[in-house]
Amino acid sequence: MRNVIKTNSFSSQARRGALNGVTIRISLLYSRIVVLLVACSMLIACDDIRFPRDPEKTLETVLADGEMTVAFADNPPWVTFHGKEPPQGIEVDLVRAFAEELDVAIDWKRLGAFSALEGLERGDIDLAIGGFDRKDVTPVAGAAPSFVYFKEVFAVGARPATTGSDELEERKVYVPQDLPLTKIVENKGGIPVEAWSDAVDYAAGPRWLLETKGLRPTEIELHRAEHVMAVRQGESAWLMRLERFLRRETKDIEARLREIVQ
Amino acid sequence: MSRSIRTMPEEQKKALRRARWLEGIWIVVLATIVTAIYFAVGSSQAMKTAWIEDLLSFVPPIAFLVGSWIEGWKPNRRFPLGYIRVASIAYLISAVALGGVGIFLIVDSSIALIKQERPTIGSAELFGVTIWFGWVMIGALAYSVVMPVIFGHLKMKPAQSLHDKTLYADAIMNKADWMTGLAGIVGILGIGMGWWWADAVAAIMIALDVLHDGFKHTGAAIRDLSDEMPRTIDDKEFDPLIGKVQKTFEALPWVRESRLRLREEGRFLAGTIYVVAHENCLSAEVIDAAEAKLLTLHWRLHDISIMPRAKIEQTLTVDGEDIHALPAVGRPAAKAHNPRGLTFTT
Repeated sequence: MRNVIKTNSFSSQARRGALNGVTIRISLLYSRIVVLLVACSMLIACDDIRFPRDPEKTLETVLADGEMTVAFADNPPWVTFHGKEPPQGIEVDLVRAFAEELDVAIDWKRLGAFSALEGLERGDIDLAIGGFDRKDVTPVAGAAPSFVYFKEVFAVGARPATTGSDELEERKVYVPQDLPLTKIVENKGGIPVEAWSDAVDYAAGPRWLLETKGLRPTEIELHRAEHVMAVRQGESAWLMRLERFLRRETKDIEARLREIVQ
Repeated sequence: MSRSIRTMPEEQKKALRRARWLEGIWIVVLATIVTAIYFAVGSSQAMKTAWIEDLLSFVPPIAFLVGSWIEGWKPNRRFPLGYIRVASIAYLISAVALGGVGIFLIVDSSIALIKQERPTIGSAELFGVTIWFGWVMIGALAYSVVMPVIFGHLKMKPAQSLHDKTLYADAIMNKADWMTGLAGIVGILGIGMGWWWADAVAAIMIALDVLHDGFKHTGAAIRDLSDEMPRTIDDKEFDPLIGKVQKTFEALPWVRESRLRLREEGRFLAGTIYVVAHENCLSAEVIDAAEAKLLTLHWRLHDISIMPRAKIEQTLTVDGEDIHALPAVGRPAAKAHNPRGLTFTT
């Protein structure tokens, strides 16, 4: 009996010893992680170490090849394309200025909005534009949106002469064909029409456009678009470079839009 | 003669007030942490996991506050024994919530890893300067690390004094929270280094930690509610009070043979003593006196029934050998501590 007890307490001591060993090893592991962390931060602090980096090296490749592949989808006034001429538009201008800053050439590829975004995942496209809304980009696996460089509010505008309440109930609202606002206008009780005539007092469109056309924007908001460009998912360095440029160059987007219309 | 949270000694009452204040302030601090991380989550899986873990940290303090409030209700016709077991139920709820979310987080992070979802972290503009958003995330995580560690230490003392397992589990989790924050930071630095998998791996590490806590505490809570013999708050060994009650009772001159069974009811202990008395010694008065004596041993002793018997049946004794059949943590140490096993017979 005594023997048994002895063995028991011995084995439990041994077990406790082993447990202590585990604790020491774990705390060693964590102190190593802390050291690693400090080392990382020190490395990052140096300028010649590139941080963040791209898993697929998009930025490095673009700079080394002196060329970037840009997919575009038609969506005026952001991207306009007429047959053989090179694309035009606000986003096209931005991309050209970005390429100039990087000192690289642009290989334009005309694609549908969805294939432009999908092409990012395969890696054969570096940048996709087409007046994308953030909500268009996020669901596509393999594509990552840039920050929202321009917020566009779509509202209902009224002729300055109209007075009284701006309720849409039973009123005709002009909805331009290229805007997907028909359903929203109907939901608000209005009657969407396809032509702008004297019989129509209300029109739907982005607020800046309504103002340029001399309409009075009402409180009725139809939609908010958050404009982004898209890059391949995970390419943080490439995205950082693009966003640095966009943050600097997109402060006057609204003025540019008005300019194009007038 | 039953006791409750209202009849605790002054020291415990003070500890309870302190604990309630601590948990109240902690909930506010936690809300600021959760808000800070919410705005910094971005596309990082590890950040998302850390955020959900922080969100989950609301459960134990709320369970404690609600539990200790209900516990103070007076016994009534429907609940003649009072509400002292609410503490055990609160503990079980916290533990199950922890385990469930742990599993969810592991699955979620593994899917991110398998689908090779690559977190992209872009820029942020702070006071006119464009910086990498990863630094903002790391800042938020660093903030989420400091406070829990401080609060974890502060909660430890009242938890031990009150023998409150919910509070104790909460304190331990808070103290361990720095590992979560660190794992998140390593994950984000990994993304910055271009290792897309670092983030998901860090998230899985955090989730494993959550699951481990949940598993451990669910087990302890279920064992409490299954009337396990009382164990110390860290669940490492049997409560020394068992031996104290046993010794005190055995020392009574009229006791010939006795069997003690104790169980935990929340922070309190209740139980039965089967006793064979020496001939012609037994009366209602000696039993009353014995019960009063036992209840003065410790404030946690809540209700002890003394049951006189002609002889103690074999079925009523816990055999020392069955101890190996119980898959519980820390049993071997307990056995070494008490080589006869769990045989509290005289």
